Amino acid sequence: MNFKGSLPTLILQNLSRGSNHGYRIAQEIKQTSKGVLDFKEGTLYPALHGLEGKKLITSSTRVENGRERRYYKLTEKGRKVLVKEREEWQQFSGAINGLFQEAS
Amino acid sequence: MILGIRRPPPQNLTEWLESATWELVPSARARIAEEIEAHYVESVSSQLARGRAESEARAMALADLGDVNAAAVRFRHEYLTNGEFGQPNRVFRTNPARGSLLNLYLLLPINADFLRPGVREGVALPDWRFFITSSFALGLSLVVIALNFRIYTLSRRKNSLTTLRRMALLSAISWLILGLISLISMGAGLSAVLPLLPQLVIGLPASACLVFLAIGMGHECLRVRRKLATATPEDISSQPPAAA
Repeated sequence: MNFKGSLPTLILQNLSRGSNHGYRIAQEIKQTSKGVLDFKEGTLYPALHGLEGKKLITSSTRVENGRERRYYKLTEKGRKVLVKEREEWQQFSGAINGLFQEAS
Repeated sequence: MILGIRRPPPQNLTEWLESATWELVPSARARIAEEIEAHYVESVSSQLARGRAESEARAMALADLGDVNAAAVRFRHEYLTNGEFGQPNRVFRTNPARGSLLNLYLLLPINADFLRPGVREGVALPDWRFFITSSFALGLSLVVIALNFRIYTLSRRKNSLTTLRRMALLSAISWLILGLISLISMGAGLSAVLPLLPQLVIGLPASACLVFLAIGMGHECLRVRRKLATATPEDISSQPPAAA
């Protein structure tokens, strides 16, 4: 399932647990959602670079197994945005749940 | 689809990267390649660990990267292309100061009526409010011309990212001011120069076109300025010299 436009929020949520690199971010999102939230991995990097441009995350390179990896980290601004988006999502999903419960 | 060209599906990672980063500045290409290559290698290793043959593992890792055209569009949204990089340098050649001159064609007769009342007998003077607004627009036209002179002097300097960003910001401001002037001259023109047929026929459509052009160009300059933040000084040396 591809929730259009939700990828940046999913990335911010993943990085709220600590710094991470692109491949692991993609795998963790898929695993945590038990494969429900699926996306093409080539679109992950434009989203990561866009978040970095907005200063919601920062990146730095580390050498891992002899190869350079770029790790991403949530900034304070990114944390605030995530808190706001989480609240909005809870409000939205609460409203939808309420409607479904009323209907059943 | 990149600029209307849908490329054939890539057969390997090199082709995927070539299509995804087509026309991007060198620093962007290098950074994207570095990350996607590391991602691909890890993805292939993971498929091999699940017992797949190497060719199958590579094909699956490539498929997981997804539609290269969609990725290319997204990367172009984040990074400068070689064409956009030279844009601030080309600004003076398509500068809004020339648009201001078109507005003067519409605005000057209104002011001239006030400055030389009674010269053209039989033509009703416009309301004094149009004199004030058109004078304001004329003042803004001078601001646009001054801003463009500044952009011109900046364009003579040795290129640096700071200079290019400043040029992009100044040109965005001058285009947006031109949009405002064009709106004013349209409003003033509609009410004030109705009896003056040449101004009505030529001036008003020209002002209307300028409003759309100026807002579009202002937005474009701001977009390029945002993307200039992702470029590096090495990208400047990779560009062909700007035409005189």
